[in-house]
Amino acid sequence: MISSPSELEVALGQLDTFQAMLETMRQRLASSRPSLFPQLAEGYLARIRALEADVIAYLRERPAAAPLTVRIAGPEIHAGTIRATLAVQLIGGLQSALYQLGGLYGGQPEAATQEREGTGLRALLGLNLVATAPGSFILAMDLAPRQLKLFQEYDTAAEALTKLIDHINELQQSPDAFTGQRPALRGIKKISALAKRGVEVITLKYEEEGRHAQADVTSLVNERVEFLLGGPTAGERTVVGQLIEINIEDNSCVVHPDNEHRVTCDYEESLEDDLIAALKKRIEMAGQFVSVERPQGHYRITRIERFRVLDEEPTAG
Amino acid sequence: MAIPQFRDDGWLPQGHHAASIDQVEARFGGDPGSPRATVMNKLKAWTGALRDKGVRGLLVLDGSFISSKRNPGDFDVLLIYDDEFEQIMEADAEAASLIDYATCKGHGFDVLAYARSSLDAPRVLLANPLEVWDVDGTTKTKKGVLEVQL
Repeated sequence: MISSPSELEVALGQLDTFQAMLETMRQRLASSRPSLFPQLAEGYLARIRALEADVIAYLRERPAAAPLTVRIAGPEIHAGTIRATLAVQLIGGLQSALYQLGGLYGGQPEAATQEREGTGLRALLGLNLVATAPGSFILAMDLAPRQLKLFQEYDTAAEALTKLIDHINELQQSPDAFTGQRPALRGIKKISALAKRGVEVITLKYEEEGRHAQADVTSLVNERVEFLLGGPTAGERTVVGQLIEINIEDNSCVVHPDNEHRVTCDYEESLEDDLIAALKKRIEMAGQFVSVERPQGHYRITRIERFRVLDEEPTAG
Repeated sequence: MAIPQFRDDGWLPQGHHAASIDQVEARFGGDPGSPRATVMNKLKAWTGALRDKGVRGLLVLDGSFISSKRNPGDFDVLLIYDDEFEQIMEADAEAASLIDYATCKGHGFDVLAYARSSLDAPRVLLANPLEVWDVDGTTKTKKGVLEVQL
């Protein structure tokens, strides 16, 4: 199997040599002993076929000299075609995930002047769609022209992409292996949510200037992202209702379940931004439930461990 | 001359290293009953059969069998045969089967055969057939192969 341009070069050289040897033998035997040629040729033909197959497989997976390829596979992905909506969601999700990670690890949000000069975060982290490959669905994407730095480690786009792939591999191992932050999870979710029925795996592969990283986004990754973002585990006690109030002074909030009394919940600072974004939305929350003396039968969540938004649109009332 | 030691990457040093079948067996034959010994026995049986049929020439041995790999499964060989072999093959189907690809593959080794007098053929002068396996496909570094006279 060929996996690099240098291996491709060697394979092409061997292909040329085997073809030349075969042709020489054919010319040699054509007039003198043609009956021997089929037997002598078979070994060369087998090698040539194998090398050609390797070369074709390599070129098919690399439609362009782009550092990032994204391969989508699944029963609903037919060779050479993809639903336009899926392609748009995939490209948009990648763009969003990179921007989230670039903001986390690469520096400050861009200012207007940076945007005009093309050195802002959005300019540094843009993706250009380069090519699609026939025979399978592969997007070859080039990172937008970025400001060249003296040291490779300051290359924001490459760092964000490498971090994205690392985080996906962490999630493939286990939820506990994830070393990122909630904004990174939200970014990854935009891609992982696409791995569902009909799309079995989305493979991201990044190769550029000595960097090599690869990750598979599967439904398992999506489950773990949802869990880390607040999805409950099987059998876990949760409260479902509208998030109606947030008190940023004492780090508490109020959830109003349907046909039940309101529940006061205490939260840690790291969740505040997500809770504010979820205000007035229907959420599901898990944590440490503690009964309160009055009113009887009521409870409080003394520490929110996880929550997730069920309806993206704010609930009236 | 002795077969040189392996490099750090497990291959022989760059170049073509002359060796006898006995030297190949002593160096690469492995312990009795081992996978290496099985491959070596196949090589000995095949070269013995070629000699019995009067085939003369040069063998270029390649593949994991002549590397530091613990349990190689087969050997790859380029047979540079003296021209008389063609006459032998025409008259003796058994001799011809010794370089039959499917038959050899079934026995666990890969054989290519090339006429010695064709080494100077103009079309192949750009690429020396004898050196077709001299490069490691993964690292693109030159590596060594063995040459054994039949």
